Amino acid sequence: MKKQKKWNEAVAPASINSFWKQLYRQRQLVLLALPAVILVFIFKYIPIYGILISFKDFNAAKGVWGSEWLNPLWKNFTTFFKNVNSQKIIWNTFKVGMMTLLFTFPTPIIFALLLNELKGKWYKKTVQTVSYIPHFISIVVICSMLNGFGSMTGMFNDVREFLGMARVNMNSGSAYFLWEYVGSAVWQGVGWGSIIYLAALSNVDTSLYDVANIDGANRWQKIIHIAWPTIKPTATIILIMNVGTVLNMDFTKILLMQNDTNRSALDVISTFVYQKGIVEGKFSYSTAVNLFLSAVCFALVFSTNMIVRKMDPENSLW
Amino acid sequence: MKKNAKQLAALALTGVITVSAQTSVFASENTQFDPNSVPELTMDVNTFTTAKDNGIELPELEGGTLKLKASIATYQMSSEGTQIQKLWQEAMEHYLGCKLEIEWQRTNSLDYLNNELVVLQSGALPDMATVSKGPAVNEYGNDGILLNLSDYMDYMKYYPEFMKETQGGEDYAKLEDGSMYYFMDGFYNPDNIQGAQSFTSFAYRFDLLKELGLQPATTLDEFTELCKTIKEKIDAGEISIQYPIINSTLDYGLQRGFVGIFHTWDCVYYNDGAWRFGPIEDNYREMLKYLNSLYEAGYIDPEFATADTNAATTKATTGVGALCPTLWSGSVQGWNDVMEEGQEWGLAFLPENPDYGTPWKWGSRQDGRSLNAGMGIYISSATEHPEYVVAMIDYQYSDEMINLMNWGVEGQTWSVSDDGTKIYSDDITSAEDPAVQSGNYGLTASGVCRTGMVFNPMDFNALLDVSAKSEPWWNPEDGYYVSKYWTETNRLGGVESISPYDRPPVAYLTPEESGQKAELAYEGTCDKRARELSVQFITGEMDIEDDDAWASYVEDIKSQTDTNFDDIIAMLNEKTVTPDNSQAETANE
Repeated sequence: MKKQKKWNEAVAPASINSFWKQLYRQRQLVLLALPAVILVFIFKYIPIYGILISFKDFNAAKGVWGSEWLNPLWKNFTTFFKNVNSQKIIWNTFKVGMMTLLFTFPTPIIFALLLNELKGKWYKKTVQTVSYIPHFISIVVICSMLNGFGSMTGMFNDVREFLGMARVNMNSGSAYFLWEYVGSAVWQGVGWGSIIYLAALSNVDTSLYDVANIDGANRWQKIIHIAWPTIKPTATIILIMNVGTVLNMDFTKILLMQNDTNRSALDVISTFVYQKGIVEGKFSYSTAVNLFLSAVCFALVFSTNMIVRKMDPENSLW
Repeated sequence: MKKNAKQLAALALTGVITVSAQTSVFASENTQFDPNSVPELTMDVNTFTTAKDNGIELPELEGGTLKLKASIATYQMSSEGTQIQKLWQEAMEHYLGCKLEIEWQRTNSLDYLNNELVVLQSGALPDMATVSKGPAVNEYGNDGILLNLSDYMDYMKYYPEFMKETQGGEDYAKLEDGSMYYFMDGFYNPDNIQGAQSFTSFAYRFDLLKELGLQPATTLDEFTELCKTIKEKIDAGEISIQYPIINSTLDYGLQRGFVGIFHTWDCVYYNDGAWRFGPIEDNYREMLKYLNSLYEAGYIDPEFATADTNAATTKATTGVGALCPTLWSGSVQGWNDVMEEGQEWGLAFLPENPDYGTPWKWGSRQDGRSLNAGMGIYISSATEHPEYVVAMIDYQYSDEMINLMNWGVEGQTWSVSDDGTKIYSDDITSAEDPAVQSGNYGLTASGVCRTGMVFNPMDFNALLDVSAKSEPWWNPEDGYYVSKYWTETNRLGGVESISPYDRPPVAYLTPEESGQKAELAYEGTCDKRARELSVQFITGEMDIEDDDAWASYVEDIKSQTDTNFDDIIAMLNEKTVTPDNSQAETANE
């Protein structure tokens, strides 16, 4: 114990000094990061205190601190779990979120690896640029397109007919919703999402490919042994970050895809929060429901990071 | 490095292409609105009244300048820089006897609607702001962040006149304790035209009916027969449409077109002395049985509940259907503008169900001066000069300001015709789109531009003249002719067609109770669930003849609320001020 204390006294001041020295040495980088840190602090950390209204009977005049505490504190949470639709909404949220992650996470990686294998420079650039375009289309336009494509006379049904299948109203019910939702998310995000992987791939030491060629490696082997290991750390971090937002799906898109044949089947926590908060004006209640969602997301990020740390400690976030 | 630079350039180019494509769309849309395209208007404000003339003593203002922040919703066109906005400022300065420096924050109306409660929750309010969720602001008034207008009645001259003339009178405008936290939106209907806004007529392909020797229906039986005939013609290949009936929007279900015919409603409403939730009424079930019979017979487009407005417009204009029971006023004209030559949609008043009598219309206006609780203006309790702000908003309800905002300046934008009625200048009436041209002046009646402190009273006659479009109509006495939606639904329906939904009594509710009512109101949880389940009855997925299925439907809807459904209805009946709530006991039993 005494030894430990002596060690702290001897080492700690030195490490603090070295910390500040290091900070000073890297002052340009620190300055570069400062605006982002301030921005995140102001807009992401300070508002966190607002979650208190989940436990309060929020009154705008009294403010967050001055409003009365609910009795019991978890009243809003019990109201949600007692809601006849809560189980279905939670299940829908997981289903849509997981399906989206399952398809939107690997596709940019695959796309980037394929682009990396293209030799024709002009063709490669054209494909790459064209793939970014869907990212810039507004979600309202996307949903209107989906509504048109999924109608009885729409493009999706033209394809079905070409394949010998019967025409169906794909906008009716929830049978085709997931495919349309996930498919359009992949279409919109595959090009844009590949940018970060292409940037990582541009750092591959070309001599590795030369060596692989001499050794007679085929394309597949080069992808597996050179390209993939290069982007793996990036992919791992993106995966952990995506898991954190997996349940915060694009609720605008779901709202726009809902109609009188599928509304309850498509309801997720975000649309429920919108309904209760914005439409019905129950802010404390909707904050509580969203807090529940955030807690689950946090647990997911924590678990994913833990798994990654066990499997590949170098690539975990902490 | 060079490679990355090229990648960035390509990316930037993609962004530029997309942004410029969007900009060009907006630019082309905006080119029709140009406040600089109209001549300058001049007016002698000295002919206008002043607060002093009205006996209103405003306190001394330091420096003689009133500085305010105002947050308003804008519609298709901003009032900034318009001639009427300029004159509004002059008239207002003359009335208040001071210089005005208003910092306007203008927000698109849809964004405004979505964010206004969030702004109120934040407590950081401008001096005055538009409200489009009316009664919801009372909660913030109770909390003390909004000005209690009843404490400033001495600074009002014109708004109290609107309060008196509105159905329900002062009870309507004030809360139970006499407080009031926002100026309600005013409406001036000098000729007592109690027409409806929408869903009060069915649209028919007039060209097709004429070709087949048919005519629009006046009764529900005639309507069924008409559908049957059209279906037979389709099946026989005599006409090229696909279904007799199509829907026009996702925002309102097909049911909205028929509820008035069956004397019920598709959300909570007041009828026969009690609050009711329409979708669980027997009348509503009768309506669903009727719609189910139409669907089973193949008369209704199977996509009636899934086609959005774009898809529905395409269906209407490319010959998919011949009848449309759900339509906003003006939509028929919009469709006809893009129809092939010789094809024409037209309107006829709702067909009558003899079991219920005259069908009900939606959105009808009260006569004379009236207030609408749904929208208005609130004032922050933190505003420095509340007396001035109250007097300013109140002045917007004066005849001279209503006239200025809606008609403009006599001799320049309007004149009096030989029969004594006001008419707009040729510059406006002969424009390709009079609504746009009047919007360029900043006239509120244009419907595309709201000037001054939004919302301020609209003059119905001006609105009808300039923004209501003429559409083809039919009725059994006059045959085919051209007229306007508001006028025709007033004339053909008469007073007995006014829906009880349009004239609810006053109910004093606490914020929590308002939240409970919102669950049963249009777009509330119960309304959405009812619409979803109703579709299953219409399509036959659930059997509307099966009493157990109906009981299960009612139970499902009632289970959607966070508190007990029946208690909410009971609470509404209990809190209703007028008329006598003793009749409430039988409702929704």
